[in-house]
Amino acid sequence: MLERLENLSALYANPHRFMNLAARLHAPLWLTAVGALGFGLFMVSGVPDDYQQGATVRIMFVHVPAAWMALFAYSFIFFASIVAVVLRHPLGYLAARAAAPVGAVFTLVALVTGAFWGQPMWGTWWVWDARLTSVLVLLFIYLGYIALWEAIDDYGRAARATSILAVVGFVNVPIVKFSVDWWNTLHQPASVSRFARPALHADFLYPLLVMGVAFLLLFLAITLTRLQMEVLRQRLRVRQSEG
Amino acid sequence: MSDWRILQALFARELRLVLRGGHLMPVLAFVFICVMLMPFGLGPELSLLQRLAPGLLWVIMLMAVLLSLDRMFQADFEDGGLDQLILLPVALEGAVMAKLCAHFVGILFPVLATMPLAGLLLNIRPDTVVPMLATLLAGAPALVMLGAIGAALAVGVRRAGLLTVLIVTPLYVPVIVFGAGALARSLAAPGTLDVAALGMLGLISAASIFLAPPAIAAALRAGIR
Amino acid sequence: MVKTEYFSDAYTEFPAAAMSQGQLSLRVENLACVRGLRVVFADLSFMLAGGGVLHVSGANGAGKTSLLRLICGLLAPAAGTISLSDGAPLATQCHYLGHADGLKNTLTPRETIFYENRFWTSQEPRAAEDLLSLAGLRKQADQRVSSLSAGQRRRLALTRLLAAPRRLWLLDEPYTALDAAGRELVNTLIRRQAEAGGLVVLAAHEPVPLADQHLELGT
Repeated sequence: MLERLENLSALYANPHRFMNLAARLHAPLWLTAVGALGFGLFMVSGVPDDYQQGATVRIMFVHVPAAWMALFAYSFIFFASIVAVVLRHPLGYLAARAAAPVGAVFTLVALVTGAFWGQPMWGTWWVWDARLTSVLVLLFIYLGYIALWEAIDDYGRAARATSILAVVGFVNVPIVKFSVDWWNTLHQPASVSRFARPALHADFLYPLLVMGVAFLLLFLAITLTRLQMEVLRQRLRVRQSEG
Repeated sequence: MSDWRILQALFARELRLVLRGGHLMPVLAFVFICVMLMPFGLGPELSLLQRLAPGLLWVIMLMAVLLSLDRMFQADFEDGGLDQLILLPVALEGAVMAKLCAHFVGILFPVLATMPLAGLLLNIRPDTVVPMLATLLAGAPALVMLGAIGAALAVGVRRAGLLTVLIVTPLYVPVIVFGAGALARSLAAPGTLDVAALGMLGLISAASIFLAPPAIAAALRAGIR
Repeated sequence: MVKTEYFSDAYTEFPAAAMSQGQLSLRVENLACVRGLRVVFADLSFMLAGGGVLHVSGANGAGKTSLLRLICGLLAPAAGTISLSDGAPLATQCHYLGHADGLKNTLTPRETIFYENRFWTSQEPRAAEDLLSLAGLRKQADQRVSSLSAGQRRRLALTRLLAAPRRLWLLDEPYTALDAAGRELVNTLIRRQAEAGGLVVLAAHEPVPLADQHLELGT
């Protein structure tokens, strides 16, 4: 029976090669991520206060990269699902599943920091401006994706269903962005962009880019760790169901 | 096309099932309960209700469709009809379209027909009624198709209702943005609507009619395993 | 009481056109079935020649239903192949009668047969009357299916097999809830299908004397 299990292991992503590679990448990736984050935060602390927004402009250095990562993570989920379905590599399903909560957290961070950033300017904690609203919808897209994984008991069915949802959601994201932008201009014809960014000269650009890279490395490190965890959990479940 | 007769028969049966299944009553009841509760929540001031009416009706319509999604594939899943639907000698996408057309005719049409009356209760401007119906009609196919994606993904799952709503809501955002948005300037320029927005809405509906069926079919196939 | 002479009237036009006498066979090779994370069975191979009736038995959970669903394509195999000797795609060649019979509670038997007759072929549909008599549902023809007994529902579900000729029949526990007359109906249908060169795979707990091949799952 065990031999047959190994033969069918392709279905369950028992990828020795990947686990070996992941084990070797694990520590260097985390070290680089934390290092980059530290360096980025150091650069941010050296940024001069914005003449309009004061010190709170520093929140931008967390908010903007978090928003980038929120979008990047969903693209990651999309491509992982494509790899799983089209290239028939079952690791893709697990990778998408691993990345989803990470992406959701980045989205939440973007929302919360966005609220904190805007509060001194607007006087309220939330406005329905184009960017925040789009990010809120993105959060719901993540929640729906995660909920679908959790709701379906059968792994094969969950994997297939969530990959369909990933593709549908991916197509939907630009449409939502476009529609929310339009909606925003509709109801505030003379609005000044609420998130008027300070002019992106070198003082602001470099720290932003460094923070962006740091967040990317952080995303990859966390996702890699979660993916290793998913593979192990899968192995455990298979053994349990056989026992 | 010899498949056409099969699809016609399927549409006829599904329509009969929708009409006999009592799916319409809860949806209509929901619409009118919402309409009745609005003045209690917002105050009976007529000018306020008038300003809000088109948008409120859009949200109510959207939620009514969400309500109807629950039973869309559930009965078929439970009684084995889903297996038979997949095994039919026509493409599953076609069979799904026949089923969704029956859903549209059996549930959405009646709801759309009662919208003017609902609008009356909210003191909607008479010259806004036709533009509002135009936007609802243009957006209804999108609501059904996109909703069906959610219903198909969640078929047979326990507490599928909440899951379906969660999946479908981000898909509905563009629809309601353009649907209600087309009416946004109607108070300033009475009786008109934003044709560009209406066109966008129609485009979304048309695209969903072509792109949703493969996703729905794939989701249903995954669902019966 | 089922009138079997009526049945022979209804059945005559069928088989000749649709079946290839004795030529057709179903071949299953190294089939593996996985449900969830559990391997239900693996390395299953058998061949069923035209005119054959295969009885699949086994304990609950051994994979009888899964095997039938694999053959008609509702379930995808984890490994192995299933094919017909002439290479025709399986989904279009079979009738599947599962545990859940696919009947709609709010329709009447007459309506059910009316629609089934139109679903499985775009040719001229059969008359509903013969099939109603066959199923012994003449009196209940216009009552809702929800008011039928379990045995009556099963007989109604069986009429789908006659809506259009199909070379392969997949029957999951067809004898459930049936009395002696009902069982005789099932056996007659199976016998006729086999005589015409068709294939029948049925899953049943009880012994099936009609079957010429036997497959025990779960051993």
